[in-house]
Amino acid sequence: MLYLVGVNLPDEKYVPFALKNIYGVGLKTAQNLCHQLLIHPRCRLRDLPEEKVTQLSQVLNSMKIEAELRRETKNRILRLIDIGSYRGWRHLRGLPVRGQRTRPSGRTARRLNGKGLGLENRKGMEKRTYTTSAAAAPRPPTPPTWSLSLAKAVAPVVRFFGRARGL
Amino acid sequence: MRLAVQGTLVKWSTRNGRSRAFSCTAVNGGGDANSVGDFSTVFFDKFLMNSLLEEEQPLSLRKQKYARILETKAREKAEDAAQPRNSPPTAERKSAGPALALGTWIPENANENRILEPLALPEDFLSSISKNYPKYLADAPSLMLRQTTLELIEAIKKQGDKKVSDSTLVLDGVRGTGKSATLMQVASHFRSSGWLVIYIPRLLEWVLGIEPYEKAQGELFNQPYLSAKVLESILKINGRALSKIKTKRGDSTLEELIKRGMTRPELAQPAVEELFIELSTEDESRPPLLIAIDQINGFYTKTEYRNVDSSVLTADRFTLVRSFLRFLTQEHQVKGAVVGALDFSTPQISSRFLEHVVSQSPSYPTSRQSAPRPLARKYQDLSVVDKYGVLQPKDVTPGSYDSVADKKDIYPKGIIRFEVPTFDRWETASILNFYKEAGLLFARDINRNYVDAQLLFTGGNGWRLFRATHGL
Repeated sequence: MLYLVGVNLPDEKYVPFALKNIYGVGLKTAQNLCHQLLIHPRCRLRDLPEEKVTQLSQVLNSMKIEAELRRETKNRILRLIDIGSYRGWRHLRGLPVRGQRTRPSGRTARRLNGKGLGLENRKGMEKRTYTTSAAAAPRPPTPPTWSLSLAKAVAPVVRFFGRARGL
Repeated sequence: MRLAVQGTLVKWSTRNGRSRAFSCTAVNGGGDANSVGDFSTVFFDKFLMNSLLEEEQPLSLRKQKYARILETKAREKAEDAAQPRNSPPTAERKSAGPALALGTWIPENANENRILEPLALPEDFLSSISKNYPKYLADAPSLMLRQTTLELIEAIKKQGDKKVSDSTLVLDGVRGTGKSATLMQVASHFRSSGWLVIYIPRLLEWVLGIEPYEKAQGELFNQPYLSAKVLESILKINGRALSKIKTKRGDSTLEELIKRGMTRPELAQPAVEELFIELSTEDESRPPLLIAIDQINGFYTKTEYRNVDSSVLTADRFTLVRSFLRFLTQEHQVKGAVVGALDFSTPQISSRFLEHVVSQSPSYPTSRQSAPRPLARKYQDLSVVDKYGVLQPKDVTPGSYDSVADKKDIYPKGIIRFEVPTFDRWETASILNFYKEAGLLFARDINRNYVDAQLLFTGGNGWRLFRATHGL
């Protein structure tokens, strides 16, 4: 595992596909990066020479990724909530934001935001001993220093970032 | 009764890895590699031979020739049996397969009398190309000697007799007819005859993006580790011969030159270029050089590599490929021959441009030439306009969209197309017989009907025949 810009990357994968594991870097960005640094397409991360690793980390550090990107996204959502916009309200509710109909669909938004649409609620599926639903997972206690209204306000942001970790 | 088993052990296993090891031991017993092995007794039993020969009279020239060859073989066998023989103790059998006595690929065996026989390639040649066989020939070191191979050997000898070689022979033919196999046999033949050989069995690895690359001067790119590997393979194939040849300046041998490039990758590409300059200078004392390149379409194909701006790189942007292209463009002329084989089995390496050029080139006159294929629409012209002067779209003339077509400085010159035909009935019978001997066709009676059926289903295509029998 190569530790790069705050993330552990899998060694045995090809370089572009390993770089995808960084938050903020997708396949296209990763591939363009490899082209700029002349990394051959079938190069695995463990075979990368030292100078190319340093070049990679230099370029990655100049990009907005990981913590900085998460912060920016969080701030954007918070701004929408703060100004009292419709979109902010939808974020708070955990419902689709982009004007979709909720009568037939909206399941992704609801599932990701703890509205009880986890796998155990799907028709035709047997109950599992574990669940991947955000609703079923135990929620971390809210920090006591925050007031309740602020906690409620940042709840969608916490959900947004926490969903990958099963919160 | 099997002859002496001392000799090289040759394995044959199925293409998809299910290993059935059939050890076919090459005959070196009795010290006479020319002796006709046990194989010939069951080679064509009289029934099959007569049924193959029995057609409308008079017999065609080819059939007369085959009949003569078989008679000679039978006579030699009878003479052999008459001589007293002391057989050395049998060597340990390494696998459960039957022991076949096969002749080996030595230059003396490449004559008309040994046609239709599977001959084992020499062990040192095989180890020198280090399992780097063409794709479906993996683990199949016994190859049948065909009339086509002999004709190619003749053609190369003619090239070698000239002062310098002014043309490139390119093996063409439908997918699976045996271009790679023929090239392998020929490379082995000339190596055993004392020529210098540069044999590249798989060009695919150069363009797939497996090797690291870096920017070189101008628009070009280097592949330093690949250049080192190529130098290593040249040294391995030629063995001692290179240590006897001195460079132009006289201060070192070619072997030292290669070793310098092998050990340090950053010096590999300059070493390759220097080596090629040395090899193309005239020198009467030096043996002739054979350059045999399989998958030669790879020199004109698009690679998987990308430039800094993410544009696709064609193979000619790499310095190693350029070094070899100098032989195709006649910039370097060798004393010897340059032979290539097209490959239609690998889509990553296809080059419409080269396939078009080869199909338009003059053909070498061989004994079996198929009817000229009608020119496929896609090759009609590399930039076609209709009567209004509008450039035709890609699906109508895909040839006009080959990016290599503009690069006139790397166009191959002096290409001679050498057609590798499909098997005829005799060759099919021989190959099926060999498979049966090797234990691959259980409970099959190789008779005229079976041979004809296989010929019908596969069209005499060697690859299909291989697959069909292994699938049983």
